[in-house]
Amino acid sequence: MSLLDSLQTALESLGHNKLRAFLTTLGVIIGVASVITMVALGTGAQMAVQQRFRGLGSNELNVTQRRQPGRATVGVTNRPITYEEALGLKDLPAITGVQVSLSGSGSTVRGSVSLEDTTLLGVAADWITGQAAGYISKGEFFSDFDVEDKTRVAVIGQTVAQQLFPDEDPVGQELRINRLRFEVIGLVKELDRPDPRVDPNNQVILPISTAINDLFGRDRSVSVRVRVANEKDIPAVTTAIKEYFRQAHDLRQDQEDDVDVLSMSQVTQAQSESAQTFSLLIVGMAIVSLVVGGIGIMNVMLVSVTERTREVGVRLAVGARQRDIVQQFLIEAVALSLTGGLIGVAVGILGIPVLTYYRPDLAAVLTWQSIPQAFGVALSVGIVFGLYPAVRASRLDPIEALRYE
Amino acid sequence: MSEPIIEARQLSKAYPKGSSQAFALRSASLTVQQGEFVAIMGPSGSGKSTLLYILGCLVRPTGGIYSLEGRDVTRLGEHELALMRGRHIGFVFQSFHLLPGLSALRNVELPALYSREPRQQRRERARRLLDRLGLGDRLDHRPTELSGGEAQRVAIARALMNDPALILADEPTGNLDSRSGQAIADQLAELNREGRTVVMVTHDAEIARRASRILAIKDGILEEDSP
Repeated sequence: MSLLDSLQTALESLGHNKLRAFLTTLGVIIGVASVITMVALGTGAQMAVQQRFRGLGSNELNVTQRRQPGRATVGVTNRPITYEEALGLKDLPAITGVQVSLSGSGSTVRGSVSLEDTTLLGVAADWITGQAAGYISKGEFFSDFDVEDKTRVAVIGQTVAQQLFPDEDPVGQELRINRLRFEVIGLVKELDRPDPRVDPNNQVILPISTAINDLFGRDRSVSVRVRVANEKDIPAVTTAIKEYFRQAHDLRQDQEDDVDVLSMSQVTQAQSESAQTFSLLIVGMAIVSLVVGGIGIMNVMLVSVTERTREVGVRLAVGARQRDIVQQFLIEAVALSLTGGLIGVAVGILGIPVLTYYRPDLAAVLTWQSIPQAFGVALSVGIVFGLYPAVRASRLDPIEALRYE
Repeated sequence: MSEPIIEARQLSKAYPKGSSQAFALRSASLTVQQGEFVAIMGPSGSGKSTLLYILGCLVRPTGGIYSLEGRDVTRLGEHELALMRGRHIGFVFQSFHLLPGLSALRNVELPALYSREPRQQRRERARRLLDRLGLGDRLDHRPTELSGGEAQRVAIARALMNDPALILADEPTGNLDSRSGQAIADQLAELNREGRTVVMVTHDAEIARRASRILAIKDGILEEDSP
């Protein structure tokens, strides 16, 4: 029988029992959908890490408070890294620069208008030297004096400006953060928005001392980026930084370090390790769910072969070869698994926004490569688990088959 | 005298049963000439259906010699047996054996699907066959929407689809009332007049009388007088 005729025959047979066909594919649907979602979550997590360490040069180190096992919330463990401690790193040998920042989010208010989820970024005055020319489109950035005096001045992004000061020049105006008045002294140019979930223009940049004093409190660790003169110095500087914080935090001999010092190469390594673990997990999950789905298909195909024993006898009698029978039942199994794969991909894709709606902290990024992969897997499930029932159908004794009522 | 279409000597069919064997057919010898209409009669369990399925290349005999149209069937592979069934033999069964999901037209087309005939061509011929059998207005009916006599005529049309020289009928009137049964027997006789060889298994003497020759099978043994 030609492939086209086989396909028509298979689809018609499945069409006679649509509910059963759908229930059969459920296992494959769930398997494929969860793989699509998990791969998207993995990719999202990876991109989030990349984002966090973006711009970390090869001669730079990131210093963060170590998250203690069992205490997930940052900021309550042991001693935070304070602004002053971070500034003290400047005195260590081989360190040529220290950049301290602290960020969080909050709402900005002007009169009756308020804007949610604004990124509040506290930095030192020299932060602006690391930005591209023309970063400040209007007004000016704050100075060392502002940082020293903890003045309440703010440099605002375009979104903040448009929402709170429509049709007005925001420079020189006032806005409120945490009920405190801040004077707008500068306006940041329109920034590109590579990730649609994050609006980089919804930000307010403040002197870091002001941010600590008025907004975040002293219990939160600051982020520290340290620059060394030479890449060779990284191991020595890493040890020195850890020792510096052991003394600053009065750690006993038997206590572990409470800061992590990471270089770009370490970040990359840690990331690829966790990515590997994660993909092993996905592969394991995919295998389990697809085997379950495959067994479901095999089961239904075996039932179907039994039900259609007589049909097989008739087909043999009118000239079907055994391989025609194998082909017919195999195509049915593959049609089931591919349909499952198709619905699974759709459910996975639709599930991602639902998931991130309820868990906004999870980043999920859909990769198109996972779609043909999912189809490939669904196809093999159909072939592997459809083969046995199909071969069994083709080996039926024609006499028995034709007598079967 | 023309070449015999069927030449079978001491065909047997045994199934393993525990340590011994059970014989569905012990020894059947027969010769059928081109254009004959042969009826095989016997009580149920006499092995007549098994014989018919062996003659129809659906089942391999465990012993004996069988040649169909001059070809030694016992030496053919599975693929060639399927070709024999598809192109040289047409089956008609007691309970019609139409596929319930397909229309009358698609049922008739079925043998041409396996001989890979183009769709347009096979559909046209199936339509003509059904027309000829007086079912021109039943093309799109499902088997459940047909009467027994109509269903058996669809089955005959299916048997004729690939224009076989040999028609094998297994109790073709067994599930029909006597009037429809007679009509089907007429139909088979007409096919025979056209030149097709018909071998029919039946236990209805009235129907068997339509044949040009009647053979008796008993306890898996069929002997005919040597021609």
